Amino acid sequence: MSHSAAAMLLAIGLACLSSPAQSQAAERLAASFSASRPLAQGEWETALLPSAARNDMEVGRIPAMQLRLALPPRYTTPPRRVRIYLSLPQMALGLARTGSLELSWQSGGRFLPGVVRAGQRALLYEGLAAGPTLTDTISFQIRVSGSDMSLERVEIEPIYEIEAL
Amino acid sequence: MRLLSAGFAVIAALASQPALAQTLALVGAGNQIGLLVGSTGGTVDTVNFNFSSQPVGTAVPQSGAAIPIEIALFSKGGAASAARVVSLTASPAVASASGLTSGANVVPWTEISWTVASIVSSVGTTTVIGPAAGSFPATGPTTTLISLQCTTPSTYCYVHADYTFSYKNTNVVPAGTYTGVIVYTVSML
Repeated sequence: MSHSAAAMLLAIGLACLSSPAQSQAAERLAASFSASRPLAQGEWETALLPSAARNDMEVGRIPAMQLRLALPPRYTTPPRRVRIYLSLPQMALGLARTGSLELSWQSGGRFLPGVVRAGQRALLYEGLAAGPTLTDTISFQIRVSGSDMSLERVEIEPIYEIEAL
Repeated sequence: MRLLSAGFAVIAALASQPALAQTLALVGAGNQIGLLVGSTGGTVDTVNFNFSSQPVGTAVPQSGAAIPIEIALFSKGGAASAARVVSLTASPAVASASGLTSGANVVPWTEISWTVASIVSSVGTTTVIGPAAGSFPATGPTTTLISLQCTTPSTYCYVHADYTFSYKNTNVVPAGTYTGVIVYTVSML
């Protein structure tokens, strides 16, 4: 019993180590926010403008919080130069369509500011993976067309991926 | 041994995938109605009628500049948005309740008429302009100047119309500068 378990683990480990393509590809990172339920109250972006400049975009800002990314040891011992990307899935809860969805962010300086759309990724960090966690202040802004909302609440799930340079 | 620990790491990562989820939420904006009368930025536009070189009391009217008026509905969407009706009325400001005044002299609001032109609305908007031409009542609010309804579930629809105001010039009044203020109100039924 213990033999077969060890053999299975060994096989997984071998498969992992023997796949250069996988080690080069982006690997998803565990992430946590300092806020338990990051929430933005949407506002009509152009409600106060004349009709020629109006649209149905809603925008909401999430108050600044800490974003902590857990870096696997193979990037940190020894420290390797890495790129970390923030990407958005194609789908989002509460949205019938994600074509208008836009997530942008400002950081405390360690992460790069950026903007990303559904199905795309943007560079969040480039540099040494010096420790087991990478932390910075981040404030997100969500922008989406009200016409694309199928529910009154939209939930999006950023994905953080790392790749060694 | 190192291989084993690598294997454990892979399993741990796979097992914790659901815990990776860190969602960001946006609560949709509430219903909002918009109104623009004339210039943006809080400016109170003035329509001037100048009779310094034109006879008064001849019933020959004089028109002023056109004033754009827009009303808009920002809606949370869904089928209910198509049922919402937004309407616009106008009524004299409290200080101008009796009409346009110059000291103790008064020109009644019924002397001011309007016509409507250049009506533009967004796709999926039912617009009712009515009446297309009219006068302010002596007191109180007008009938509905514009009503707007999104005909299909939508989050945003609007109508833009240009109002041209005229002074009927039906009475001889004492010389002076007569001023009055009209307040526009948009409401959602």
